[in-house]
Amino acid sequence: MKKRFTPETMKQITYVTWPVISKDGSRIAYVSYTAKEEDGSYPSRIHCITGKDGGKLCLTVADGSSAKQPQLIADEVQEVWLSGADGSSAKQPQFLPDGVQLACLSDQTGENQVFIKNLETGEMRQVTTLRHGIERYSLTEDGTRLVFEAVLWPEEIEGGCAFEEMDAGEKARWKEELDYRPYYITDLVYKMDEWHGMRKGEFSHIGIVNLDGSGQRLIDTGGMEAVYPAWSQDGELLAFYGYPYGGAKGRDAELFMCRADGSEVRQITRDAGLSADHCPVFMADGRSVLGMAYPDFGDGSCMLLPYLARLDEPERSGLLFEQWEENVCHGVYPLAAGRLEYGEKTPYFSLSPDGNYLYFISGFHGRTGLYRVRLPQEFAEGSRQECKAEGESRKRTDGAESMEAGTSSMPEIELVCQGATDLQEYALDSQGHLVTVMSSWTEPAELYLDGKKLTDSNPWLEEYELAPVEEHWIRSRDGKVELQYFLVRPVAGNAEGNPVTGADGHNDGAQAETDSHSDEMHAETGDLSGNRYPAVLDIKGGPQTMYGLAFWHEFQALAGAGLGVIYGNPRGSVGFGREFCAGGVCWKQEVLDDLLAMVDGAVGQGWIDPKRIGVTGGSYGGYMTNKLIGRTDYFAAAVTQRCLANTATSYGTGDMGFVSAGEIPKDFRMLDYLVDRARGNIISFIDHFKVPLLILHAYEDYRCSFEQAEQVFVAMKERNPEVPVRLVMFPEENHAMTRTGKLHHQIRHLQEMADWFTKYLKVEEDGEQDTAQTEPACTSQNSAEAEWISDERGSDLLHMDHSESKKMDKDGEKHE
Amino acid sequence: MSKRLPEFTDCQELERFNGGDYCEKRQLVCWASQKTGGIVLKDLKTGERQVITAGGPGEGNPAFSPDGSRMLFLSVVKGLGRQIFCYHLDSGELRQVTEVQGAVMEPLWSPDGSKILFSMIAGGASEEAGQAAEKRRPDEPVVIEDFGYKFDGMGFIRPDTHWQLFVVDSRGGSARQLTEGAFDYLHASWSPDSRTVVCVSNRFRSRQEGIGYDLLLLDTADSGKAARRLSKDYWIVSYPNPIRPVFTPDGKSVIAGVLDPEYAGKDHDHGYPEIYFYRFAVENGEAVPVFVSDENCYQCVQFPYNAGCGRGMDKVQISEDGKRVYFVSGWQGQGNIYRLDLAGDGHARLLAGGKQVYHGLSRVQNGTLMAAKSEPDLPEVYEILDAETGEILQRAAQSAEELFSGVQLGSPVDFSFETLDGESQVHGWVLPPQNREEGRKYPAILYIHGGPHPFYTYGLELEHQCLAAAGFAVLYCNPRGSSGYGWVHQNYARAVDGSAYYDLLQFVDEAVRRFDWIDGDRIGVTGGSYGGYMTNYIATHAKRFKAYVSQRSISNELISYASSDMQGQSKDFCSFEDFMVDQLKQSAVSYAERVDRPFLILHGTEDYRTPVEGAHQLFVALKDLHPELPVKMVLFPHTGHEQPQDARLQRLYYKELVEWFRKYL
Repeated sequence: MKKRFTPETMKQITYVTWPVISKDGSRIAYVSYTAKEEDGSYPSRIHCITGKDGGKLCLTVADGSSAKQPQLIADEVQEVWLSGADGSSAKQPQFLPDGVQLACLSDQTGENQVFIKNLETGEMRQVTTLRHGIERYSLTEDGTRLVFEAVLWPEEIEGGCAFEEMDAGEKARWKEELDYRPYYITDLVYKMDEWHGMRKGEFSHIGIVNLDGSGQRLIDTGGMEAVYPAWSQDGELLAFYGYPYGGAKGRDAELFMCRADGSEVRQITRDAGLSADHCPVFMADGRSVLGMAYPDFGDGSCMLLPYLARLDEPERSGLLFEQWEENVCHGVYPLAAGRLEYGEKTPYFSLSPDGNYLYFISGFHGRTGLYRVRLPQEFAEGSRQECKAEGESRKRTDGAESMEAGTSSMPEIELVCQGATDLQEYALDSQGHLVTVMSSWTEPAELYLDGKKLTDSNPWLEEYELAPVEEHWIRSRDGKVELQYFLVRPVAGNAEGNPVTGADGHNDGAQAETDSHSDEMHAETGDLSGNRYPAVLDIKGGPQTMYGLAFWHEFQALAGAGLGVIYGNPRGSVGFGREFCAGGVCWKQEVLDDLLAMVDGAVGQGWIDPKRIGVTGGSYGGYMTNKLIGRTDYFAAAVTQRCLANTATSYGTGDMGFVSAGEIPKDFRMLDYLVDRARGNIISFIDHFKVPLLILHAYEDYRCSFEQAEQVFVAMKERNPEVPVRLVMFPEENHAMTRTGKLHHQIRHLQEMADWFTKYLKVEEDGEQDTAQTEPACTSQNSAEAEWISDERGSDLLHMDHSESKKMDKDGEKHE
Repeated sequence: MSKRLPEFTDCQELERFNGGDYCEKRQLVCWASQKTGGIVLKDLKTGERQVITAGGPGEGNPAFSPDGSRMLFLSVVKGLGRQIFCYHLDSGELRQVTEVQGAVMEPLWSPDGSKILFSMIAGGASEEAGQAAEKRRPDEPVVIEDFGYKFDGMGFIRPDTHWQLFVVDSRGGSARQLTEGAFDYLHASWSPDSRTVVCVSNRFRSRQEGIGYDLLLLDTADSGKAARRLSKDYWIVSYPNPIRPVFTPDGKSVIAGVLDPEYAGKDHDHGYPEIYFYRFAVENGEAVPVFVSDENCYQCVQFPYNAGCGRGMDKVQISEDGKRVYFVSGWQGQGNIYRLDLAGDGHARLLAGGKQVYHGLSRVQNGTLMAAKSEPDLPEVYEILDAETGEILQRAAQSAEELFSGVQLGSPVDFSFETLDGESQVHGWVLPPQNREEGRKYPAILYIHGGPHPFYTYGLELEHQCLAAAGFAVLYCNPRGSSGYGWVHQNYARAVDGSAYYDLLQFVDEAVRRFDWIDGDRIGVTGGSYGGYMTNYIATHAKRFKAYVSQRSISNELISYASSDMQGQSKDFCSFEDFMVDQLKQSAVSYAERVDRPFLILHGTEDYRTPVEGAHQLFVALKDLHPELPVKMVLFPHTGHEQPQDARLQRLYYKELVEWFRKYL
């Protein structure tokens, strides 16, 4: 008999991330996070594994056993180092060229510093001594130096204490002093959700140090924030992202280069739309740098593409490929929503060890995988002959050699690996071995080597009844597109309160669902056909993100509470080609229609009670939740999470959307602007918010500021006093709370949501429907277009927000 | 000895006396000094003073027992919070009376000295619930299901925590909770027989009636007995100008302040109603007005903007024979003590007053009482007065003596003028810059008070003195909306309909006309709260000023509607959209394109009255539209709707303020 998945179950989750493999393939390291219940934090540990004999990894993988602790399931694999025995956290492992030494960040002296672990002698020595630790670092190819990114206060640099670590007492005094320091604000872009609001003068600097700990120094960027530094292959040059602009462009990043000694700092891109969430990569010629950019296609669509910045010929800088085959994958790294993950990730693109290919993670139709594309000729035959013969086990593309950078011919993109459905990270060694972190609907991310599972980090999950997920497609109401959506069946309890799944296990999702849980579940499945269940439409944030086919504990918890879940990718989502997300469609009528079409499709499956459908979503999903209850009568209860509701007050309180992002009209009047934002606003329809509404919002949310929640709550209370409304405020958390927040906050958040729907969708223990008690709501056929309140007035206004949304997408919902 | 000019750091030297009390029989006075900490006991006969505690934050509220044998006070016990202590004046023995989880407030001797009543924020149901609340994680999510979920200075209020009343034996023992439920019980007072307590409570009001309070009677001997509602059809005064109701010595009636029934709880333009005394019969709740408003004393409370005295002291006392009520009320910038004969014609008589502010009264004993007072050159003094004649018998204490003997203070000059529309008169002051040289012209700062109902007084305002010492003339006045000048002048609508704006412009004109050393081309504007609102208003409407410092301002009414602890109402609008547009039209941020002079925003990050979100939006709007204009925002942590009190932050706060004007004037 299996247990129900509940919000509390989250306590047991171990998150696997950051896979790296030594060049010779003999060792693999990865990072795991498991929450600490006392304070809700997520300490990180590094696992380093080899073959049983300490040598190469054996690729024969046996079935896993189920122990309590995360463990390795390959028979002939042994863990040679597990950090954290002393209670400290370690992360970001990177092998040195010898494969014996491992660099990593460890907080054993207080802050995250670079340490070198010798895996043979066990010795661990400290390299850096940054006052506030290090954010990230890159090693030179020869493994003798590293460049780091570190947050510092300018006065610390002037005062000469940037490289002096603080002891506990000193740090406590410093924190107290900092706590009582005012915020001095003179720049337009002065707060970011990622910073939990505002900074007090600190920003990221870059610096270099020799791996023996000598020569620790900062690079002078003239007071400009610098992030994500990387080396050229010869270790002579550095590339990094900088923020050179003021005003509305304050968070627009550009690529910079300098010499390894910090001289000749130069900006090498201008308005390239670069996404500074990765270390740039030097091409083999050593004179050009690859980054990733969101080009302005002019139609509002969104796709991340490789961008080549040339040091010597800036006029030839531009997209690496002018065209992109959108039916293979949606650019590079479309942002995935609804996926269980935690912590920092390894880069989502890299050059192959032989220098001929660009490997990258991407996705299409909800599935993510590792792809590769052959580099243009000028880069493919480079200085890296020694690696060239390796990795030949994979199919090569004929004709790729004829391509050149910036040519208009279509590059051929190959899918290298997809696993079940979801590939999150990867690492390659010089022999073409591939380490991946992959998950599926019913299995959280685990580590794989050449497709074979190496870890079993969440063995406890076997004791739980998991709800299977089905993939469906339906034509949009306007007939223009096919819409992908997913259904999660409730895990219904039997009389003893033990779960009996209502699923019949059928699966449109092709290659999904082949893991070992399925059979067991079938064994316990009761036939509940004929019953109708309450369900929840769960709308993702973004909007330019993609719901994938990955394990998502929130769906499991809702299903465990007896609720079905409907989720999908309406227009505005990425992963379906650019046209699917173009034209600001995400703010328009089409998205409402798309979401309702999915609900109709789901109801058509026969097991959902159309009178007991709830709606929820976070961020943009919260915005859509508000919109759906304000403009339709489809839903019987709603939970709006970290929502946007009133654009007249979100201006200036959230962290994005500025008038001066464009040219300010000469006769501009702020009153007109704000009135425009007020009219046709979500909250304009507050008098139509007639279903029980739960508002979940973090107090330090600077993307959709907490005042947005208050706008909804106070207006609800005042104008719809008869409707149940509840606001739960989460202190000390930001917009990313459900991903990076403290464990007890994440649990409470999910529990509040499950409880609200359980209460107002009247979940019955035995799954019997009780229509007499349900809230009056229209059936799905009843939604007719006639009932729509015209969106036209709002659409212009909302279109203005589109730049916001794109930013939200880029910066905010990355963790979403 | 030559005196030096005051500096902003001197603001930290203010002792901020708390809870002064007077024991006539033994000729003792006591108080707590918030600066130095510690409970001070002073013998009026010898002038000797004794500090009887080590001092520390939270120490305060000393009070002599009715028989003069003991003195109670509050002091923090680690792990518990603020507790009641008792000091035996003869033996010097010190004893902790309470041992409760939470912060004890407002301890009150019963008339027979056997019990002590106190209030504490606690769970509605029981003490245990309160204790459970204390033990939660500090980052526990807050569940909000009704209005009134946050309050400036207190943060987010968890719905199961309210002001409850407790009673404890004055010799110690366990405290007993007298009240319960999700309601507040405030401003309690003992009956003469030490059995019954009268308090002010929202027990019988809905949350929507935000300031709706009734008088309740509680039987302290019989906790099973339900609270009795003494007043029914009246709004008893509480926030922001609480009066502790008093029993008459015969125990048959209670005198309490009531919001003018003509306006209380009704929609009208005037803002906060006037407060009148009523006598409530204990037997049947029958209410009789005992006060008649006239041109000398038009209401029974005062709302001085700058009275540095009287913290933790009562504002109303009754004579020992029960025939008279003593109270403070504001008039023309003065805060005076009035006496009201309960058997008389209802017109109050001036007992003591003048160009100063009385703002706290101790019990009347043997025909004398102690009063707290601010003078033009002293922030707080305690005086013993003859309750019959108002004659000052003795100065009992003065705060920050050393500071004020050593600094050279300027003398404000006051004048009045008739408003342009002829409706009222505006009274204002000009504080000249220090060490003014003949023939030289000086920049000036128009400093606008908050509220708008409070009024500037003749009392010392050290911040103004520091600005004058920095070389500025300080112009401040009581425009329409200010209280203390009668009902017509106090009209709230006039504070926001442009009348007050023109009052201020006219005041500046008058000041420049009267004092030719004011440079009319170098005038800056500042103010906090309503003063910040008005600063924003002026910056978006006027062209004559050269720099602005907007302190804890309101810039978007729509943000305040939902995020202020005094949430607004949209009910007059059948369309919420129309409501939003209306709010935006009334908001300074909507006119941000008009601002054309250097603009500094100072705001506390924990301001729940004028939410800090409004400051964010105003800053962004100004910076967004005027990239070249000097615009700056400085946000102060650990600061609510006030200027920061923490020394480190306060120093930086004033530095920003004065430097901005130095730079741009």
